[in-house]
Amino acid sequence: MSSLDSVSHPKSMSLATGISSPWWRSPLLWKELRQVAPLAIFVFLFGGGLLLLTLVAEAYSGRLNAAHWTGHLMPWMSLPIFFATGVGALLVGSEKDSRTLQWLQSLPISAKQIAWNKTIAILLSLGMVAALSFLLWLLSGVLHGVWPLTHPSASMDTDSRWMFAINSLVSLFLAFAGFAFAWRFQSSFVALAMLVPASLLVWLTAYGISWFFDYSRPDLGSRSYFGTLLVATVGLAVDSWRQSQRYLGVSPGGADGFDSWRWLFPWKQPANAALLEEQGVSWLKREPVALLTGMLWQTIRQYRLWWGAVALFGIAAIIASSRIPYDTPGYLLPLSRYDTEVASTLLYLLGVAVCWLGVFAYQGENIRDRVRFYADRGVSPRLLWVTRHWVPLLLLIGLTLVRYLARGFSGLSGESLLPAMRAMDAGRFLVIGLAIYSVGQWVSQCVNSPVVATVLATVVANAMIFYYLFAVLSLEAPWWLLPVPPLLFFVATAWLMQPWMERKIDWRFKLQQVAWAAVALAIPLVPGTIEIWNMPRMKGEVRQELTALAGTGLVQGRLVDRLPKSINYYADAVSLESVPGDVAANETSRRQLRADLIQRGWDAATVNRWLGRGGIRIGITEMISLRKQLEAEEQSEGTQGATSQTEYRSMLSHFPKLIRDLRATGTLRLCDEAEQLEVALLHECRLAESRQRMGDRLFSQVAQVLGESDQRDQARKVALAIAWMDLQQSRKVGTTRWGKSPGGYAPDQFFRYGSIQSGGLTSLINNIRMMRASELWAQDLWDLLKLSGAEDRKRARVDYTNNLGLFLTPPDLYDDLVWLGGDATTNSAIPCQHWRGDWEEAAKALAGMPSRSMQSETEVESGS
Amino acid sequence: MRAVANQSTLQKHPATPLWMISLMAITVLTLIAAGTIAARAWSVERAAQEELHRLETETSESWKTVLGSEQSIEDWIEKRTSKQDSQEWMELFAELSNPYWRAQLRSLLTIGDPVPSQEEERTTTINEAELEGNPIADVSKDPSPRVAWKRYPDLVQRFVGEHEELVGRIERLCGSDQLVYIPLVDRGEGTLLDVNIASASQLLFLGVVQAVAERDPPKVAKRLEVLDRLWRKFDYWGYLPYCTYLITGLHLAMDHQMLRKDDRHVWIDRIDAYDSQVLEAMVAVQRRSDFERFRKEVPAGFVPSLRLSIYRSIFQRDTYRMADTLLHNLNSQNAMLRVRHDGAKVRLALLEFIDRNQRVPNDLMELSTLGMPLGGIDLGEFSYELMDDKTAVFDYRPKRIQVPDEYYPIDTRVNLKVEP
Repeated sequence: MSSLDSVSHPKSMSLATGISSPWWRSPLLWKELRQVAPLAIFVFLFGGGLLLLTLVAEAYSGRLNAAHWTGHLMPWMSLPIFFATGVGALLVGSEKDSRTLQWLQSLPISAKQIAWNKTIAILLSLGMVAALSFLLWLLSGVLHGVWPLTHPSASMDTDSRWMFAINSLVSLFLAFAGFAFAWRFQSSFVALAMLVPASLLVWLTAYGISWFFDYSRPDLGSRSYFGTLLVATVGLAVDSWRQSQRYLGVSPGGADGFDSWRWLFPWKQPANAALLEEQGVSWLKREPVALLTGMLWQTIRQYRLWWGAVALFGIAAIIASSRIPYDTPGYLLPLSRYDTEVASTLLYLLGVAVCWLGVFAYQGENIRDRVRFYADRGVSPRLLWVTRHWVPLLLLIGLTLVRYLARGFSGLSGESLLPAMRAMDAGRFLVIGLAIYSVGQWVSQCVNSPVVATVLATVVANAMIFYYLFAVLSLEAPWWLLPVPPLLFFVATAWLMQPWMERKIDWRFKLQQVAWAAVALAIPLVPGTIEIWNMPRMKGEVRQELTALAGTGLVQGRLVDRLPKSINYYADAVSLESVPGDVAANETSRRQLRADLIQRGWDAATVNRWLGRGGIRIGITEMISLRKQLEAEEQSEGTQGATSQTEYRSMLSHFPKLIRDLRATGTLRLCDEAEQLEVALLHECRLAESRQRMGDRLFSQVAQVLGESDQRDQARKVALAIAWMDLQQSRKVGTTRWGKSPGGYAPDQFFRYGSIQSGGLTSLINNIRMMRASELWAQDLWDLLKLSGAEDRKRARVDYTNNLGLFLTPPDLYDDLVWLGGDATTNSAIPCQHWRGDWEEAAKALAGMPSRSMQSETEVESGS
Repeated sequence: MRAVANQSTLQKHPATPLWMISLMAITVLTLIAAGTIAARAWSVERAAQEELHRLETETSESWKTVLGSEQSIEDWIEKRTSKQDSQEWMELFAELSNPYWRAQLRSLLTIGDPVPSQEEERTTTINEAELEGNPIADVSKDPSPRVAWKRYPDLVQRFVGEHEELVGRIERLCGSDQLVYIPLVDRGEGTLLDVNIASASQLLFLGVVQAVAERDPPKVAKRLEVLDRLWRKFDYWGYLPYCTYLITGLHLAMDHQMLRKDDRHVWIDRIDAYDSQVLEAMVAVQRRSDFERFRKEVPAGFVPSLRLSIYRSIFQRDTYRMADTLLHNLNSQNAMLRVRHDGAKVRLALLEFIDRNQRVPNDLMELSTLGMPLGGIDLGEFSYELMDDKTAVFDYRPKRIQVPDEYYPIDTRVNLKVEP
């Protein structure tokens, strides 16, 4: 049973007359609600889509969390506003278009009941849309991990309260304005179009009031706007009631204040059979014209007032906004209040007008299936398409020329006045205008109802702004692909003109429209999607191996969770007065450290004890200092300094065990420190007199540990696996804090690995790249370990350092030079910087060298 | 009859009404105008694209300019540097990377709070001196040095003495100005060629302090020379003006009459205070970095004109700011360093003038008669008080350019006397 059927049911009649049932069970009310349902659904589909798009973008940019919840209501308040724009006009206008209002009048339902139910339907549906928008806002907050109502952002200041109140009232104003105009005017289109001047009138009045008094006074602008809106809303509510009663109670063509202007509105003129015949005969007497000319003439006659209105408004808006400078950055010359509030609003409204210009393209023929006239006579769909767009497109180009000229005479300074700049500005204006128009005309062909089409086209045009932001910022779409969606919208309507003319507006037609739109919207996203698709990921087998390694339990005494932070073993002077004391304390500490490092039994020291003495780096530098001291003694005395040599040997003797202990920790950072020590030991071993200074046995021990490439690699793999697992478990909390310290390093050293930042933080591609950075890092290192050729290794290491953003030269063997690292501090530690350096080959070769006899070593020792 | 007439009318050749002709004409004219505008807009986009391309090329060209005829930075450093002492230097830097050095050197270079400030102290001293009838006698006295190396000379002597071997090693390695080869990772324009010589230069400066305390002019001269050479050996890009310890060391030596007369000309020549080419290179480097940041942060999908507009309005500002700071701003770091160097040069010139003429100059402008390379120095920046033809007071601390107090750890007001 249709809604109208239910209304005509006897039971409904009794309800409608209001004898026994409450108003909210009135079938008439349900009929009204069902009538506005499509508009509500469309608005919600776009609202939900927008929410989804925003959430996806936020999720991939790491902003879907409590820290990034702003609680802004505006995006969600715009949904009721869009709905309110069409609801009033839809409830009356569509019934006028389909002539069901007369049928409704024929039923035993009073005019008051019809108007009352429509009013209730407006308020109820608007309330429901507002409630659903509120739920979407709540859902968005929950998905961010906050309860929006108790979040600090929910506490509104005075400005926010005014904004909230004004926006709520704007919805009511638009709904009642549309309702009142729909009763007044025969066409729902006119009713909708009249919203623009009505809104402008209210807004300019409020603006004028605040300007007249003192707009710098706090809240005056908001107060005057709210007051003006309130008065206008109440006035329009009363007027809508009056008009409805007049229309329904007296006669549809009853006298009102607009009658004297009737000649202006062709659709208001009475249909007089004699007059029509007379016109028909006179037209028949005219010279026959080509089909194109005739169809253009028909189009012009049909839309001349609309186009005229859009043209006039467009020219006014362009002239009014022509002083917005193009080239003046805000920090140099802030835009005036007029530019930011009036001129930009007028430009936005011009965008709406252009969108509606697109809607006109098909809605004129949509009403009562007028297009059948052409279809039945075999008119070419292409010709119809061309004649519908000819003048509007001409109008758009004309407005572009006006824009170009207006900016030339606007007194702009600087670059804005240059013809080239104006041409570029006009070019952008034309492209944006064509894009908006294309959306309007596409929606117009998709939707039969003029009201729904008009509102929906506005919503879709606004949604397209977000789409373009998503395409350009998030998916880095190239600019030359951006015109594709508007172009395909034009192609879609041209392609589907025939079924539309034949009124085959079935699911197949709609599916084709959706397919065209999907393709149009998808094309600019293709390059970005391909880039995401081709983004390197960790290979499955590597993932398995790393997972297995991390879980083997081979690692003893992991230090990840208790890795000491940087130790200030030596301290700077606190003040000028404390300098002698602090300098002396540092001297004492150094003597103690030396004593520790050279003492017998220190080889049993745990890694923690080493770290407690300031770290491995101090050990390396002390070893070099001691050797330098030894060399100096050798040069000055001509013989080896016995004490220094003993200390040197003693210190070196601790290192093999330390290196193995460090490898066994499974902590990447400690493994790296072990390798740094290995590089330093390699250097010691490569010195001319090294074997003699160390003694053969110690030399062999050191060479042996340096030659343990398999053990080193195994330790690397385990440490890498553990660090990778830690990275996987790391969760960024907010913007700065990370849950874990993977491998003993700061997590932010990894998350930019290989990510050539582009498009800023909003880029989805960039964010996905960063999300996969840890995988790429582990994969690259894994691959590096498998490389054997010297050139391949070198290239891979350069790539690795580039991907890591490493500026320092990693300690390694460079030709004949061993680079031991410069002013390396704990803060500049770089993960895996020694992996597959040339030093490894040299270390392996060293281990393969024949050792001297134990005898000679004994000689040296006894000599010492 | 009417129907027949109509039929015959319909069979006529279709006419083109005037309005249609007008519409067609308007359409053609509008399309031509729009086409012109579109072509112009397109040319602007093309020009913007070319400009962006030019900027991109310029950034890489600036790198090529740095490289000269070489293909890569590796070739560049191979040709310009010597590997002779590289390994020794690497060991030295590794040794000095011990936090012990950092802590000790920082402690011995500690600067205390300027309470009372030098200016106040000086004013008080002058007033007191004037009251006593001797305007210059105690002007330069520094009763309570607020810098550790001056307050604790014994500590410095002991520290440098203990590490004489290290100082000697640095002296031995600094036999010439030859740049030292260091290995690097070739990252193209992003290659970092920077060696931290802070600890070594601080140690050498303390060596100068020790030599001054020992009143050993040859040793002072040697260590100042080594300090200068240390900077030059690792000054791959020509940023020499940043050698601050050398300037302090020179003033210290002059304060104690430890600078040899023969060395004055040498130092005036070697203190390269202001090199516009270096500054231009720095601006070029800044531009390159700004452009890199722009490429990373601004979506490539924007139309070229919009990208260029964003570059000019946001990113290029940093370049301009950098250029402005370096070249024009009185309070820029460069201006501060330059004026420090100028102060030392003027002081050297004053000593030379007094030696030649056996009198102090009437004003600083008279220094131009020396024929020394003092061009470009703003002499008005320094205060000079002529007491009589044998004595004057010169302050090498600038009057207008605000230089932080820590740049002048010792009294900057100098008594100039004609020595018999």
